[in-house]
Amino acid sequence: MKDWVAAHRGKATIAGAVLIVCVFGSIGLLRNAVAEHPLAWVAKPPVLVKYDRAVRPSPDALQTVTLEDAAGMAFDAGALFVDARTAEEYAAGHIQGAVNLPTNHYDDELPAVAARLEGMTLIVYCDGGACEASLQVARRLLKSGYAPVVVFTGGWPEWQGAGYPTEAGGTPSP
Amino acid sequence: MFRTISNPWISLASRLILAAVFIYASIDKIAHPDLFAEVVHNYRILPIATENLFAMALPWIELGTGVLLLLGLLTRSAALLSAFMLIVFIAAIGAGLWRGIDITCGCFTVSSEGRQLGWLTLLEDVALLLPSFQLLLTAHPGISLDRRYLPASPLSAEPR
Repeated sequence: MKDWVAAHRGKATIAGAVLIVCVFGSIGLLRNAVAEHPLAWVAKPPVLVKYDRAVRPSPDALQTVTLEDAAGMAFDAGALFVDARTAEEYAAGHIQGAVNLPTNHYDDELPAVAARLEGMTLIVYCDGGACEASLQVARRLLKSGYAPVVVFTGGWPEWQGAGYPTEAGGTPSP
Repeated sequence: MFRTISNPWISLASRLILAAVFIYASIDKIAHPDLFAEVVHNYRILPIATENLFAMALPWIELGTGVLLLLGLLTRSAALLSAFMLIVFIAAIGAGLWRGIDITCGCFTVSSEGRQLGWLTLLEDVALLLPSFQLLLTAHPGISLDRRYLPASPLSAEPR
């Protein structure tokens, strides 16, 4: 063993690196196996289905609404917009009446807005296009027990482009 | 030139710098695996099915590499692994900048308050390659467990 190692310095170094990856990588996987909220071993892409009030969604699907649906729901007193973008983007301009719940500050920010979310149809949005903050926040809201939660995939650019009511500033209007 | 960078104190400094960076970088990711999985997803480089496995394993490999460098155990292997990880990070950040995606780095914190991806993050990783290569190319690991327990092993950075 010692002689082999001495004769194959490069290979031995690589073997050592592979060993480190295997040992500590395995610790990471084991840590997940015993975690309170483990990640799925195989990540799945989000399943998006069109929102239909009459249909109960499957547990791992997210429901989406179009600009027209979102605008229609906005006049419904039972709906509330949730802005999943950062606090800076929210302050620069957001859908009128929306509350801010940035994806990576979900746990810190939820208590401040929890009372307003209760019993409402929550319409989550972000920057439209490929942004996924809305999907991530919608998934967490569902996990926290809120329902119904829908995602407005067109998001801020579509809403603003359509000329629907917006407002700026750090605190939501009541 | 080779003599100069073989100085044991430089090797010790290289190890401590890399150890500090890798250990510090692993802590927040280990504490929030779900958020780190989202960061990995936002880079859009790995196949979706492998993203979670990567997010589970990488922070612990970073931690392990950092601890081994701190102790000076399997120094050459840990240095090789650190260089490999840095090159992977540079490629990932470079690809992100090239495509112009607007995401947080996820380098040291998984919070959205963390830095956006930028040229500075890329330069930092390039700069960290210097101590990695110094350890790989030179002989003397400085004060280390390799010197105590594996003095003749090629896995340590001892001179032949």
